[in-house]
Amino acid sequence: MDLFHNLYIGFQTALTFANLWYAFMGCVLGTLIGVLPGLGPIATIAMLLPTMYSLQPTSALIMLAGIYYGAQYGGSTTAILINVPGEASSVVTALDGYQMARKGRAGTALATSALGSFFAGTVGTLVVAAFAPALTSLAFEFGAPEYFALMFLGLIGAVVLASGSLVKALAMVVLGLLLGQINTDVQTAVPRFSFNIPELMDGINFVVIAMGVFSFGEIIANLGKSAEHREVFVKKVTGLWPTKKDFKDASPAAVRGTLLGCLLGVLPGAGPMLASFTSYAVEKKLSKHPEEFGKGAIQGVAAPEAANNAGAQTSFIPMLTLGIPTSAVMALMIGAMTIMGIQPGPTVMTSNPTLFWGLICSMWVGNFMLVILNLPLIGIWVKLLTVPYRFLFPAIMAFCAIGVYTLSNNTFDVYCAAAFAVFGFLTHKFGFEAAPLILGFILGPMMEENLRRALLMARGDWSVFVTRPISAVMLLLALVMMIVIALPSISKKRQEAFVDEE
Amino acid sequence: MKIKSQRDFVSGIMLIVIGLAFAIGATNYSFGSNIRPGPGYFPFGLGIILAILGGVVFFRSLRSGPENGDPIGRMPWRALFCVVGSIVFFGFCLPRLGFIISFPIMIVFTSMAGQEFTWRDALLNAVILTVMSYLIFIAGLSLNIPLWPAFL
Amino acid sequence: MKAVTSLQSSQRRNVAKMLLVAGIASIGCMFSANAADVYPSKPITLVVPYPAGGANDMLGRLIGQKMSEGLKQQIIIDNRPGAGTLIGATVVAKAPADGYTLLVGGFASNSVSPLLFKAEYDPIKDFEPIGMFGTAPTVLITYPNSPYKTIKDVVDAAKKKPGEVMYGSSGNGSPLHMSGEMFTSQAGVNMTHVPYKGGSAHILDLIGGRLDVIFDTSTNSTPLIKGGKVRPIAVSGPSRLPDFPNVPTFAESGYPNFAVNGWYALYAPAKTPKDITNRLSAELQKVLKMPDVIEKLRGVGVTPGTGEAPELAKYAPSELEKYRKLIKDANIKAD
Repeated sequence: MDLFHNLYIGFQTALTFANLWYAFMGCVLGTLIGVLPGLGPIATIAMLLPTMYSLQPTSALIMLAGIYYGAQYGGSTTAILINVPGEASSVVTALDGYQMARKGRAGTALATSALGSFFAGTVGTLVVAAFAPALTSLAFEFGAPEYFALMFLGLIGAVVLASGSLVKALAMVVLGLLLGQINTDVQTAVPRFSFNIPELMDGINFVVIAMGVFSFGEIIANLGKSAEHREVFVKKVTGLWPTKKDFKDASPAAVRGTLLGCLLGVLPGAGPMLASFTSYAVEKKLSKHPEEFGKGAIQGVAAPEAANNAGAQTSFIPMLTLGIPTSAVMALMIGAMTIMGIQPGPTVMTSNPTLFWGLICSMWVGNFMLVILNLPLIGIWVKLLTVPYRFLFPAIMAFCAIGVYTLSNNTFDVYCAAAFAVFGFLTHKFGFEAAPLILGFILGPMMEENLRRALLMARGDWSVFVTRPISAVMLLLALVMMIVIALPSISKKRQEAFVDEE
Repeated sequence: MKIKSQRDFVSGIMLIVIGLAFAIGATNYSFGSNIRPGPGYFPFGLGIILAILGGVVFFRSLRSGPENGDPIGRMPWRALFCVVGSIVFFGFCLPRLGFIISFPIMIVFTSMAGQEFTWRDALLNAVILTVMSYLIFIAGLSLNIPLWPAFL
Repeated sequence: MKAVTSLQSSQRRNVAKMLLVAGIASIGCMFSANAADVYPSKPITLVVPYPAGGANDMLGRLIGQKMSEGLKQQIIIDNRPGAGTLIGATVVAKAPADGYTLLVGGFASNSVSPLLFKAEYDPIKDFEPIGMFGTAPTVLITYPNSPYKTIKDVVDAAKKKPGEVMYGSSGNGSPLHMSGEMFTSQAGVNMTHVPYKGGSAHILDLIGGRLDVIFDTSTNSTPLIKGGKVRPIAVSGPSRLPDFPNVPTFAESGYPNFAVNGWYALYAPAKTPKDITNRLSAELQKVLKMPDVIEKLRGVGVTPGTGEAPELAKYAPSELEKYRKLIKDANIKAD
């Protein structure tokens, strides 16, 4: 079997002492970066590049990959502990993870996230090893109409994310879409709503909005309550480890999340993020207790975390098979390869098999290390929450402020975050939810770009969205979903029917 | 006419205003056609939709709401001012005064947002966080953060 | 709290170990900054007006690292992305003219972006040229089994069905777009421009056969051509590329005036003392003669430049005029 031979080469490379060490260093560093709010893997990798030139290319790439998913792990940790989602895909984790933490179940949430991610990472690695070329062709199948349909489906899913009023959730989605319109129009290069501020020409950074709306808004709201009424975190922390029931609830969710993540992760751009949102929506729809979502449902942590991590693995596929970067981190890795004298691209697999398979196997090694590294840390993270709030919130604020500044070394982002802090507080006050806003904000520009590109390439023929099979199926799904949402009575009856059958 | 939900009343108005503002702003850009939408097509349409949704929230606030009228409640002016103010302060002072000066001041400023504020705790927190951040961000990660005042 | 502190300090130790070289060097430099007055006596900031990753950033890092060895001074890469390079270029244009803030400039920051968008600087007058370190020719590519074998095939198809041949680009004002505009105006044909927002989606659409051609920068397409994922039709520039000796030039195919290429250059703020720019230019020229640098530049499809200031001082204004005319003639505008 070719696959086994390849994996054998890969593990031979990945399991050398030096490469294990670099994978470990990458994971440690990535986790550290990830738990610092706002600091992403990109700044870290960019900063480390010079020191990497002295390493073996394989070791350097293994370490970079370690930083990449270490940072994702770390990002979920802050999302759960202090409601600071460091990247788009952990926004969903924050929804239920943070609520679990407030109920004293931070340990369980973190363990679920770690175990779910490990499972997803293992499956994801196998998928990359076995099906990379096949999944590459999936990426080719996706043109503008398909992307538009997928994102439209995602947006409808965003409404499912909300646990409160439907109209308010819709309003937040639309508001997010509008905020996403602050940018330079892709087709005509017209800067929209930029008021001649050059920083606004590229739109508002996602992290700025997430931090302002989630973290700062939450802090203001917490401080607004008088000390007696405020119990941000339950004093008593129950069980660090998931119970048998937790496992039973979380496992199927993690499996479904993994599947979604593996598929959607391949798509450049929004893949892993869409996967985590979609898997959350799926779980909420499948659950017998959808009302628990948003209040600390363990499936709401397991599914998006698994989807996110599986997507993180398969998002390597276009880079590995084509040399095409699907994210800024990959672009950096490709840059590093080039500087180290390796020609990235489709030829790497044959011309440099030890590097190619070594990198794939090290993905699994890295995921394994992260679990080993993170499970013992859980106890410490949970203790962090017992720090009095008067010490904790200035620390969150301080780290967030530095993180926002380092996004592009520009104080404009800091001012923006201040504005969104006010906005976030108001949404909190008026009973609106932030997650649909964030999804609208991220998907909006991509949706518009793909819709207009699809029309441009089809010469204005709107039927292109229904004549192409993938796009038609997704739009149909979206339609079904809309009907289900619009008629809550139907869905309720159906759920009752399910219960009766059992 | 009695408002049944004050929170929805105010937020409905806000959504209408934001939606209309975007829609009016969008008229500066070419609208295009249904065959080939221009840069103004989406923001205009979305702005209108947001205004309509705001309208729904607004009118519903007049018809139904919780018993107590769903009041907005007390505004935490102090927390709002200190948190937002300290972020703006940090943004303004970082390039001018540098990290070493602006960072601890920001922490003390933001600590004042809490009702349990004491100078001792705030100063202690400022010192610890500044040292930690220096070690992590500047010594450890060597990020490009201005350290000292620009005029030095 | 105690446990937390000890954990973080152990993590910190690991980081410190990892960054031993970088960390100590940077702190060392910080304290020795006042020691000498000879340029460069403190770290130099090299502003890259793009996010980390991508050709421009990578070239900046490569050149910066090599120059730093020769100057015996640290060069810090400062990514200031945004507004089609305007933000980063503005930072350098307004920086003190002391040679400690430099710009990785080129096609976007010093010719096309200021023409398309409202810039707060003059792309020529506000900068002191140090030297050009590379150019990246345009390669016309198509998908492997496409019917277009030669430029003539493309032109014939575009003449037969005006507007139906589509070329993708990484955005309005990108070299890919400018190439397309220049080509269609010189060939007198009408092709549809399909802009993408940076990234790689246009390449995937080309390989998937949804786009007909892309006038790509060689930095992006060289690996794909070598891997057989796309097929080259023609290259810009005076002669064929050493990597692809079988691919004809645009000139050979009947378009001698077609000349669009990415270019990368080092700039200092205007009024930087001549002895400093000369020192930097000399160092850049030395770096560009190193065999490993030449090899790496060629590896990504960049033709190494000379690094001479007078050459850049002549080249940049001619580029600016060329695109000013093209943008006016093709009626491309952002308003």
